[in-house]
Amino acid sequence: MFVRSALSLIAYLFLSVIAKAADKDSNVVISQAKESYEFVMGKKSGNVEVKQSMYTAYSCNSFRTSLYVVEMYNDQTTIDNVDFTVDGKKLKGITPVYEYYSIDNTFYSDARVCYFELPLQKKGSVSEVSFQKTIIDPRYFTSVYFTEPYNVLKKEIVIKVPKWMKLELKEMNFKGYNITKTSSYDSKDDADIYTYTIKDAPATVSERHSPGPTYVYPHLLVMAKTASPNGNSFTYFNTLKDQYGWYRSLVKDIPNETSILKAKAEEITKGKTTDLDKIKSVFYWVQNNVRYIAFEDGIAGFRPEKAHEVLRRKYGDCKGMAHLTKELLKSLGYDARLTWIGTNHIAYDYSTPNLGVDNHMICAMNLQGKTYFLDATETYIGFNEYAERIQGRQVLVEDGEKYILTNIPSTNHQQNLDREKRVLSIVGTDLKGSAEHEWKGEEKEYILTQLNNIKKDKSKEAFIKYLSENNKDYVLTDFTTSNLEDFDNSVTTKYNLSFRNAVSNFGKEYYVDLDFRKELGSFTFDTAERTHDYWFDYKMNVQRETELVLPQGYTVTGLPANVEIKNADYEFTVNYIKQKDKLIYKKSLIIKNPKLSKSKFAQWNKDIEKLNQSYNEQIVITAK
Amino acid sequence: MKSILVAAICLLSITAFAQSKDETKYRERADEVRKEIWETAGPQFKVKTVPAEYGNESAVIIARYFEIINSSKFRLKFSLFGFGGARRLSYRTTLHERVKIGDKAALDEFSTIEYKKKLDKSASYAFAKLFNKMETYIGAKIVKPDGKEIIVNTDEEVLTKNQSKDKEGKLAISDMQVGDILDYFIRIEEMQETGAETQGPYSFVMGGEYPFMHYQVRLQIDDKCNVKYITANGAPSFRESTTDDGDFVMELTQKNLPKIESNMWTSAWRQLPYLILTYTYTGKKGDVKKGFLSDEIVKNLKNNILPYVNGATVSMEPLNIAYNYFGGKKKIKEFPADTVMKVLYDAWKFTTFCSFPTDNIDMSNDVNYKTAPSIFSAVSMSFYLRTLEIDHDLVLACSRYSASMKNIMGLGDFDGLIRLNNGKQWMAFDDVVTQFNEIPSRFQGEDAITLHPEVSKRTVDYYESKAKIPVTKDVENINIENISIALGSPNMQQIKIDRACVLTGALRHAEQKRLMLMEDMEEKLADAVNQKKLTDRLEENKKSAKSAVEFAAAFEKEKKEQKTYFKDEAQEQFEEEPKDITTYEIKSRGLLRGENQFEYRSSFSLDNFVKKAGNNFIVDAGRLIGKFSKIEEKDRKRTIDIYMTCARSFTYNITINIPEGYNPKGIEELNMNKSNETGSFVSTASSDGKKISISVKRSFSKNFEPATNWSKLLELLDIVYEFNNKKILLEKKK
Repeated sequence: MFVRSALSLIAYLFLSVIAKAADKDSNVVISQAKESYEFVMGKKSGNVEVKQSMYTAYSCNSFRTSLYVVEMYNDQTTIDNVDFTVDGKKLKGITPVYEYYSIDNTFYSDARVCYFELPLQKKGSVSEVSFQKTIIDPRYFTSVYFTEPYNVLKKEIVIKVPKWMKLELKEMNFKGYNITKTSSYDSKDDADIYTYTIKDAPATVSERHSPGPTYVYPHLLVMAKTASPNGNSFTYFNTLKDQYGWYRSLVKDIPNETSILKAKAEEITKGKTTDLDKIKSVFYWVQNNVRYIAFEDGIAGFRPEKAHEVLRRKYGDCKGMAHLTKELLKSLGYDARLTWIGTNHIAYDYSTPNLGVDNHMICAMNLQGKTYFLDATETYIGFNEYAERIQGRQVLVEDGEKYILTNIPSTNHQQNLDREKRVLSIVGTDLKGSAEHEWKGEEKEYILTQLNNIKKDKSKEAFIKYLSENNKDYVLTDFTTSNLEDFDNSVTTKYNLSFRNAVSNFGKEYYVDLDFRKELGSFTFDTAERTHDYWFDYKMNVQRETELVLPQGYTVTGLPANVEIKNADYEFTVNYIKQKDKLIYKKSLIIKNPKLSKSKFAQWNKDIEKLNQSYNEQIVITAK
Repeated sequence: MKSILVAAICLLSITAFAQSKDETKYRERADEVRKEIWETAGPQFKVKTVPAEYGNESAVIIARYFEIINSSKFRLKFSLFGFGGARRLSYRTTLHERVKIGDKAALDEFSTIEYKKKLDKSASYAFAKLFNKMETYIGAKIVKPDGKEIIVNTDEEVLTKNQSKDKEGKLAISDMQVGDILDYFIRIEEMQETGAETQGPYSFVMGGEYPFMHYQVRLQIDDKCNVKYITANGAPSFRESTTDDGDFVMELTQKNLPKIESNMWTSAWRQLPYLILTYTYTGKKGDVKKGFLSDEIVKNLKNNILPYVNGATVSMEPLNIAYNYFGGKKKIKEFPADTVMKVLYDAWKFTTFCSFPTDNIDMSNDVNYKTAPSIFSAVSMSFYLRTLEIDHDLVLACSRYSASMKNIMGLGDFDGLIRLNNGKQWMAFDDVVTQFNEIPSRFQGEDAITLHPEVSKRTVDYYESKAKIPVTKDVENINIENISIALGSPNMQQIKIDRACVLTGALRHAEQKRLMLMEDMEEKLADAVNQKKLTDRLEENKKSAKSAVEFAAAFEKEKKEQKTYFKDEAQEQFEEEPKDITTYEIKSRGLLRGENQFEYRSSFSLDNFVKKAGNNFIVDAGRLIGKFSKIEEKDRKRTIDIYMTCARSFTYNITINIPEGYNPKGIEELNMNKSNETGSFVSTASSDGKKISISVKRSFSKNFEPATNWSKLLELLDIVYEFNNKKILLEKKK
């Protein structure tokens, strides 16, 4: 979904992946590393370049092994030289491979990888690697990370900034790490030298549902502002206005075939009379008819494809889809604008102008004083519903030569409803009755995404399996759904059900378990193992209600205890309500804050245990 | 200096010119290919609608045409391939497919084409040049529901590799929507003069992921090739003919092939109709051979491979270990063959599975999964046995999950075994835990070819015969679980389980490899053949002494993981993450002769097996034997035969203590019984007031059942599912 990630971030993510194979038990450590960055005036290019020099010494602590050295490059960053020694000697037979780097979910990118296998010949061995790289434009020098996929004993980061270069370094996530900083002045080159040293940094850990690396690992956010070498003058992102200006220069003159776009827009909105209906039609049409295919190709990674081309191809990346949405709406006379945004994967906002701040593009639509944000890459989300990854995020909206800085509305858990209501009776040892479901917001998007990823001849079967949790005794009949092509409304289903052997009958007593789903029942954290906070995909709002009609001549004699857990992050409630001839079971599971911090894991585990206790209790119904 | 520079510039210009010339030629050829394929396509490629019966299909293959034209004659036109003096072989492969896109899943599936666009592996040696080039051409068009055709612009491709001699491309199909028809082709044109490698095997399965309306294969192979093909499992045969030039033509046309649905307990290679074909250029007038090829393969093995097996071509290490074990080459002859062959087998296992690279130490669980090359191992073993003058047969067989013997295409489709003592004993070459006289279940019951070596003074002749590989019974593949369950304080709902499992035969292997440490296995295997364990051996030598310490460290690291393996095993069985694993141990390795069973024990707690109900508790007793699925209605009818791993039996002896102050109820419901010719299920349950005893025995009599016995197997699958749902009430005494 990304417009374009800064190279260092891609490298970082990639390294995190291979770090899984690297060890927490420190058979391999980085005993010493040094990364130096120097701003120089490129003789050939006539532009300011960043010369990067990297040295890493890997040490073997316990047993001989090998590791993959991986270094990324792309259209803006070249690898000028790579060198390595093993125990001080050059080894023959190791040849770095340079090739296309395939990123998951990205159709094509300019990311390239240089890699080779480096041996550590015995316990105590040291293998050293150095790379020389050039970043062709300071704009693309966005961050420097301190940690590595291996434990680091000592790493130095040196940044040499000539006085003609204006640069801001923002220290991020230093807390909890042993990092020192010194600065000096190099009179020969008239440059300031900033030296950071990290000691005893633990290896990076890749865990699912973690905050992005910009939130968790110590790094420097690099903001190149201006440069004036040898009488030249360059302005990078001195202010956000400059960053916007650069973005604007890439989008303002894209030639669009407006007549084609207008004709299509009119066809899509035919028969629609209100503005809102027209806008929705366009948004849903792009969602439904344009396939998302990610491109991250050099400068094209920042410049959207022509809108009529996206329309013709029926595929595009987020920029292309945003551009098409905007141009279709614009052709109908609406005020639609391109909008840059960093998803919640990124810790920054536009207060720190830098190419690493954003990674996505959407369309903003102003109507009668209200701004709607349209992200057609979220294929099944409804109009004016916002995915967790963008909601609340700061956005940079185009406004001619100026820009507008605003935020996407934050929605609460109520947007994402997952509701089930059942009415059941006991027949023999079966539970029989009817049920209905409703999904809204991101729950709806999840359901529709899953259903559309399945071949349609298996889709109904898959839906039923999902609802029955693949329990073949939970038999659904007369299954109907709402129109699954209609993203504007909730998805609903209705069916009759027969849950075979759901009731245990011992003598005069029935034992019934009314909770069939037991959501979150075993969702606990191993506090010793998990390193990072846990981020849920989105805010959760599960509502369950089951009405059990009591058999004639029977009464409820045993009920599980109700549960009520409420705090700022989540609320779990379970209630049993006895009525004259029926029993009502209500459950509500709400996650208000989807970012669960590690410090709250212990409390979470206790709360889940309480919920689980309730799940493991049954209702007793006895003959009067 | 100036002239050198000028020359260099000229050279650069020439290269650039050559490149653009290449590009122009490529485009010209691409246009020709496009015209040829689309304009000469049959009427099936003009179809614009699919019958209503396919309305609910994700995609329908309206037509597929697969063609290979192979020629040593210079009559095919190629773009880059000039004419040289040497004999060149051209290969032209075409896949042309027309697909109705029925949903978004199919849209995604068919939205991208990835291909190797160009590969030039031509090599120059002095003045000679060996030609080896390939190029790929692609084309795609979309047919909209109103019949409008849109040609996809293939210039929209992106190159993920873009070197002058090696290009890889990717194309996203533009303007394609659900409801459209995609008509695309991939044409690969190759020319080689680098020798005559066997081409294929090309397999053609009569069916696929989507239904086919029209399916056509045409293979035109140069008459200087030997073509071999097989039709298996009731597949139709090729129509054979020749071209005017005498080249061989094989064609096949099928209509309305249904999609293949998955089923439990099947063997695709034994049950799906398919054709398989290979061909090899020989330079002489060739022929087309259809059908049974194993005679020829065995003949080739006898004449061209086995005569060259000797001390120089196979490792002598297992034999030398055996000599050492028995005190030398002379002494070994004093021992009974029966004893020698067992030690020799262990020596082979030890050298095969316990040799580890010393330059890069990896002692993770992955090393337990190494498998042996069975033909090479069997041939080597035959050589050792011949050297020791032990009578035996070299046996060739096929896995039940691959092509049957009558359908094999090459030696690689065979596996090798050794038969000893007139079939009383066997050696198989499989994994580290396979024992002497244990035949992997995938070969059991298979027809086999035996080769009996007769050694004369200078030569060895192999006498060929047929055999059937023995089949193990259910009592030889056993899984016994003795489960003791403690219920009660402090938490009535958390059960403490002490579980001891005994596995034999084919049921051992997976758990042995999951749970055991290579450190232990290596030590035991070394000991069995009078060798020192790895770290001791390494320590003996000054050069390797340091690596001994490192191997010990790597072993130590892996040891820390063992608890996780036990945890995973319990989680898989009970479908719940076990807590508080207090004990995990291997009681019997089942690795060597005389130690037939694999036995392990673990103790842990589970949270979700006891439900509170008022003052009482309900125990999910039926689930203590693991969770079983109900066979769905759509799977209850079956027309294809049933392939199971092996005949097998499972026994569960479960005891549950009755907490003070409670009475058990519903125990009698757990007494169930069903048996028929395919197996049995018997469960009994009783209580003495202090504890509940449950015994479950279930077995499957054979590894194969005809489809007609499915209803009987269903009876066994249904009853275990029914048992699965049984519960016991612990009622509070009043």
